[in-house]
Amino acid sequence: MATTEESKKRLRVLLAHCDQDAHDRGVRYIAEVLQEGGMEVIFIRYRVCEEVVRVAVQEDVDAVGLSFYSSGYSHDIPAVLESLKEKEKDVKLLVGGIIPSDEIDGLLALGVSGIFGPNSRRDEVLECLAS
Amino acid sequence: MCKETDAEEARRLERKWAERISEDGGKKPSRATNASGIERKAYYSQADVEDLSFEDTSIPGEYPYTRGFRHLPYSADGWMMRQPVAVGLPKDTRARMEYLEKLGWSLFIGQEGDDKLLVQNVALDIPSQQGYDPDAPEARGRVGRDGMSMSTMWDMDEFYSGRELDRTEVFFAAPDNQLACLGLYLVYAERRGVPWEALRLKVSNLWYHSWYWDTAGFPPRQAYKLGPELVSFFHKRVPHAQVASVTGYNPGEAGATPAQELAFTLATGVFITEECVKAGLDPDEFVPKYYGHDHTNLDLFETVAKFRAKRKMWAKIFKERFGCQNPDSLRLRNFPQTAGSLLHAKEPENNIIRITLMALAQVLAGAEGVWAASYDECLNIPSQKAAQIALRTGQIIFYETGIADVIDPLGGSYYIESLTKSMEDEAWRLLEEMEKKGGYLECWESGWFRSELARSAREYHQAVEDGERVIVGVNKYVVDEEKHIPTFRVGQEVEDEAVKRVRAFRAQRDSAQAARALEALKRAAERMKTDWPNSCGLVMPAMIDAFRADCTMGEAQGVMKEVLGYGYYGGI
Repeated sequence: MATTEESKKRLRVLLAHCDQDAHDRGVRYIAEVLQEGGMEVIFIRYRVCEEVVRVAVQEDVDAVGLSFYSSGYSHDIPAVLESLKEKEKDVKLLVGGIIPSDEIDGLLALGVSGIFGPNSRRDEVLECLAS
Repeated sequence: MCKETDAEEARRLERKWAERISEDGGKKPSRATNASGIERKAYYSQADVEDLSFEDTSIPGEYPYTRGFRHLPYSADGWMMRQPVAVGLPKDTRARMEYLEKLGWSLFIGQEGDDKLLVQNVALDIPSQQGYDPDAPEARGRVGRDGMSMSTMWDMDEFYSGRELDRTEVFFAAPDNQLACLGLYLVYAERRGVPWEALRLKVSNLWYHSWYWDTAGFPPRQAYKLGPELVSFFHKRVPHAQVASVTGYNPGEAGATPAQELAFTLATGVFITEECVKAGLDPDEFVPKYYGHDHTNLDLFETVAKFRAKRKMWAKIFKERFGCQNPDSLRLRNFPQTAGSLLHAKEPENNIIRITLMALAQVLAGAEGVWAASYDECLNIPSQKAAQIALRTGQIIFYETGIADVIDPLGGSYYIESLTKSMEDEAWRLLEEMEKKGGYLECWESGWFRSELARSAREYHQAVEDGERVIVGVNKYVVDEEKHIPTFRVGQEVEDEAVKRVRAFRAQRDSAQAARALEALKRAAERMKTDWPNSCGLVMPAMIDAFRADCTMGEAQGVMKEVLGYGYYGGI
């Protein structure tokens, strides 16, 4: 049974952004939104997506947010999901940025908890993390 | 700009106007300031321009160039068409380019016949931009997707064989990897027997571009050295090269207000020049070969005022601070780009209208180049249809509207002249603030630039979320639309083919020779790192030798990163 203290535990969120991916305006904005929403944010830039899973495990986060402005999502999202599963790390994976609309259903079916484009509202992101 | 009695009369009329609107129930315009925070009055009169001098506003083509660098309007010699084309493998990009050329795409709009020059504004895919070969783990899922994949001499050959290099202006949008891209191109030209003196290039000398966001270039204290390195090589060895890009597009996309963009861009131009001077170069020889690449906002008049203010400020700075005598040093030709961040995925066709308005601002401001983006840029790299519409946008403005027949058509407008002066005042204030904070590099390293940009970006996003800033079809009058917008995409087969090709290329070359060339490049890069600016001019020749030895771009850039390090801006 969760104690009151535990249920009040601040959510720890890892935000990750590939270091080749230009335009970090969205992910930086979300970092501020999450911090203001009372969450703890760890922010990394990665060269290869294997680093994301390593940090998620080391830092024992509750959720991972990946941001894509350019390509790479088609490789990195399935790879990260699979690797989290292999490591039996039960965390939510959220995705932000530019994802073609006809690929959204497929990614959600794969296990992504939420996909947020440039015109998403901050409340939607906070709700997805808190649910 | 007007007689004192005229100004008095104008003030009297303005008071009368104020009385009228207060009688009218006190209605007010919705936004009292523009994006730069400058007060926006509902109407402007002679009273707003009484302090302006005739020097500022009289003849186009004369110092301080507020009204433009030209004496004649566009219909005399056109503007440069700057839209980029790049997709998949070199053969795919080439097919797209040749299609657009049939539709009238060339370096200058309106240019035809034997004098016609072609343009290749090639955006490389992200791995090629960063210097990863297609088979690097970092490249997975990214090859050919956001631009053209390029890593070897075979790619160059597939792209250029049979094309006239001396009649084509070449630009590779790959700033962090620019030495390698151009090294490869120069060796390709050499093998084709085309002398470097005949080549036309815009050098994407933009080592600072990635600092506006978090792509990995080099650390600031190493990266800036690439500026003088490229300038010194190209202005001496490739006479038709434009040697450095002074960009406002990147700060604009990162969130800068137009006034911030103006100030940051001018500070960049000053910094690059100072570093080149320290490396022993004479500004009047290389500054004329700079080119600008500014951001274009949807606030049409603010954009026009920003471009006008920038011309004037640049001219003053380079005349007074650097003592330039060459008139071309005082004229920073500008090739602006329509803002990608102002395009929206909802009802994407509406972006055609947004892009047209932004392109119109570029033309009304008298820019030397017009870059209308593709309406689907917010979804992916352009489809062929979107690229065609982008080309048509500029052509319709040029041929069908009459706008190209008069130079600086907004010059003399009370509003435009007053706003030009206000933008200038705000930018001078910001430049002074940067000087007080220790100058350009210090402002980067302390995080000042990034925090200023983050604040502006946040204010914008909040205004959009709160509905205070309206985006039609996005946060107002939103309709339920079909969920799936068809998106142009490059498939995995491109990556598979590129991986095979680069491996086959490495297998057929003399590996020992390639390894020796990389060792020599490493030694030159180490000198750059430890003995600057004395070592200026060593790396670029070593880079060229690496491609003479058939190294790949990933190998050459790998050496640069190994020595100079990775560059991140720290913190959130």
